[in-house]
Amino acid sequence: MTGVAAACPQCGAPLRFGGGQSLAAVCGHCRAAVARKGVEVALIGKIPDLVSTATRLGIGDAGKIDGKAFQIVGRLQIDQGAAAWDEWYLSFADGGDGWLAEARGGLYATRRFGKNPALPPFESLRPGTRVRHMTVDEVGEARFVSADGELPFQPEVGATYRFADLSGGSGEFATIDYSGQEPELFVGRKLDYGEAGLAAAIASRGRAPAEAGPEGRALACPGCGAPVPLKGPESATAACGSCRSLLDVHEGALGIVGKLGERTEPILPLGAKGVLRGENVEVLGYLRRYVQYGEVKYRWSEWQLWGSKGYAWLSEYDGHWTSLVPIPGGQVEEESGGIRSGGDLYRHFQTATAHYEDIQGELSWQARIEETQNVRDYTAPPKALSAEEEKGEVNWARGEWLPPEEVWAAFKLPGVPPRPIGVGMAQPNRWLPMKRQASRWAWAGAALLILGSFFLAGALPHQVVASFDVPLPAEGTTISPPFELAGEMQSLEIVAEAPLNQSWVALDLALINEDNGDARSLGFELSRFEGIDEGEHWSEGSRARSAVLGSVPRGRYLLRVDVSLDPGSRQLVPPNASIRVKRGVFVYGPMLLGLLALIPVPLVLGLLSASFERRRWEQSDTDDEEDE
Amino acid sequence: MKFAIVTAALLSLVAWAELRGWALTEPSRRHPPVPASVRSSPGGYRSYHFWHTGYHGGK
Repeated sequence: MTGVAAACPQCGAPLRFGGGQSLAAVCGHCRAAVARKGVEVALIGKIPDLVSTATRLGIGDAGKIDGKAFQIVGRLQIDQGAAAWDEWYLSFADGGDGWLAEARGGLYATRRFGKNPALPPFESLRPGTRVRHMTVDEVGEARFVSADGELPFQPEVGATYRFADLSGGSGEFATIDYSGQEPELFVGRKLDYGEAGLAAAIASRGRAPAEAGPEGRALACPGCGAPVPLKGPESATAACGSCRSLLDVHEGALGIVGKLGERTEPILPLGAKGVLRGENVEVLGYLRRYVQYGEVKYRWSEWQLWGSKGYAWLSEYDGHWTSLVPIPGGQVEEESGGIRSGGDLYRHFQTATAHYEDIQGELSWQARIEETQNVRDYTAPPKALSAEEEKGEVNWARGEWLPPEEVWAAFKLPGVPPRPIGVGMAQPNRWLPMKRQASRWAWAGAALLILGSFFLAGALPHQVVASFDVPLPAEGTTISPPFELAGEMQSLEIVAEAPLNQSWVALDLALINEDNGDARSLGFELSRFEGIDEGEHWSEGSRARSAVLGSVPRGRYLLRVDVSLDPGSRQLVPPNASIRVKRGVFVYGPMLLGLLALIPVPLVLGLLSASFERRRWEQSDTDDEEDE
Repeated sequence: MKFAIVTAALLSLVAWAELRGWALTEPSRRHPPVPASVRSSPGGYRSYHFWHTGYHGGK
């Protein structure tokens, strides 16, 4: 990168305008701000010293974004009243420029959007507002704190500008700069140091870009002088563990902004390090929070963690643990029934006003003990989604329920975790997968059973093994010819028919095994009566009856039939009744019992699952309960 | 998997019961074996004291 070389008009130190778009530079020797006009340079003011930040980058670092090489040529420090962050000015090899902001534990690379689209006025924007395919995460006002190197404009320290940050569902990031007469759009995406090709530059200074664990520094508490460790790269609030002052971290110094009340004892101590879901994390801050309904306060704990992937959260309520990581608002989308994020539909669980009760350690935002936040929780067990809205900014976090034992193991905590009370918002319903599986198999079993029964009903022999007539008017005993039943156990159907009219006949049947004398008896009543009563025709009785005998063993059988008649209607009965005996007929008993036997397991699991869900949603302010 | 095994076992049991002609309800009554002397004598079944269902009804 060549550029234009000049001398500082104040101290004579060499200045270089390497970026094609650079219009100003800060002299690294005397901190003079110098403007460039062609080859002329002019002194325009003095820039304060840079404030201390936990940046890993430096002017001169070279990287590559999406195959486009760049070099860091300038640095701007900005704040919103709390900790300053760095925005690095990039000069690309293609002659263009861009910005790389180090904020929220990540990098946000943006370049000016080529043709300026119609942008909404600043006043119309709120967190959650959709602008094209993106969502507004934050609207606010920032202040220029300091600068270094080259810049594309003349820096005016202390000047403020309004901005809106937006995010999309696939990691896109955009910011609208309202500092000029017309708003300007910068678009890009979130990335890490490795993706920006800066790992080598960072490593050359002896720092690993993805190294877990904060770097660490300590400032003296202005209240008591006790050291206040600050490990997070963006710590904006700290609590003095000695005098319980709540401190603002501003431009590398601490200022008292409040006094904390009674200290609570966090389960996870500050500074605890662990490996959570494969990631090295360290506890930086602790919050005890509550929501109040009437006189009752419902308390929970939160820990801010710092890990190799940036900031993360752990939350604990009644022994239920949830890990959460911040996500851009562009990754959530409202739809009927809840919020869609990452392919999951989250159902609203509760909305509440959250209060701080205790703050310990350090936090990455300006927290005030008296401030409240509008908190919305959503769940798609075992996942959870949370939105916190405060001061024009909505912060989304997505996470997952953690077994308490996993937290204990991750941080090597002593003893055993307290048993969770009730059902957690995102606690997985252990009965649900079992119920679903059991139901699937029950339906499959029922279908197979019915289809199999149809098949079997067709495949059984239905063989007529005996057929004979029984004389009726004589009212005596008839013995059938002997018949053989082959095969093992089988079903046997006996059918009796007689063309009766205005008469009845009773048949007492005995099936006798001639081989061993085993006998079974059953009775049929055949009858047929009909007439006209008050002009209406009626009829009753049946001229045919049948019965199926189960589990009849093989052997030689005969059927004895005793006939009884109504003596008054002897002349009305037909001469014979016919009897048929069929072997290998379908019996419904096993199929019906099989179908019944398929019901209890999914039914019981369904009841357990429903009870689990009822207990979960008892704690929700959402009316409609989860179906499953 | 365990539900698959339970379902398969149940279906096997049903198929086995079906092939054995196992009936859920039994319309007949079982009686002590008819003595061999009755079975071997001509006309023995006619004179052997059997039973009666007790039906005396009708219209």
